[in-house]
Amino acid sequence: MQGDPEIIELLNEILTAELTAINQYFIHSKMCANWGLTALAKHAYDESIDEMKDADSIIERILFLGGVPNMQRMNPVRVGETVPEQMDLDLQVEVAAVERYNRGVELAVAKGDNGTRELLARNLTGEEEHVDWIEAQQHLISVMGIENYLARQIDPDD
Amino acid sequence: MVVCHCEAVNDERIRATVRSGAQTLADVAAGCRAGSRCGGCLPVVEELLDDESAQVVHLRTVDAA
Repeated sequence: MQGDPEIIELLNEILTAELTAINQYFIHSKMCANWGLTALAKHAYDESIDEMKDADSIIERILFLGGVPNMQRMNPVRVGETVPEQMDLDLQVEVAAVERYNRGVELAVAKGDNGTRELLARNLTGEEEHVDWIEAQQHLISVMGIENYLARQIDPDD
Repeated sequence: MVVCHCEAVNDERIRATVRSGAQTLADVAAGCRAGSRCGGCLPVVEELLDDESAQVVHLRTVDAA
């Protein structure tokens, strides 16, 4: 099926961001594991996998619409050197993703492409859940302090 | 934040390089090697350059007051 070029361009913009997020969350996970923060490492790893699944669905959509998925381009991968910095940088990625997905939904509706709209709306809710999680962690850090927070990030079964 | 992955340069080191006189991407690369290899970090180096020069403008405005 031949898709609208503007839609395909937007899907590739989203794909670029997803590929970037995969790497950012992955390196954050491995850094946390290296620091002994096993629970945080697991969470970041799962977020990276979630972004891979998002990228998967976007790639399939682009191909279906007759476009070429851009697997080369990435935005800068912003790597935090502390846990709070990593959370700030991941939140930036997610907030940008929410804006981008909302813009995508608007464009898809305008173009009458409700298949794309459905996909983007579904991915959007996942990104919002991640925003929610990060904001909750930042709240926990602010009320209990970073040392107490990190002490609870060592045991993944905690 | 790690900015240049190729040369392991963080934002603090780049800001320090700008404060010591680096004004362009080439200056920054010469001063601390950030942006001298794959180029993936250049958008972020540019942000830092703009941010530092905006702060200089702000300080000058305060001085003039």
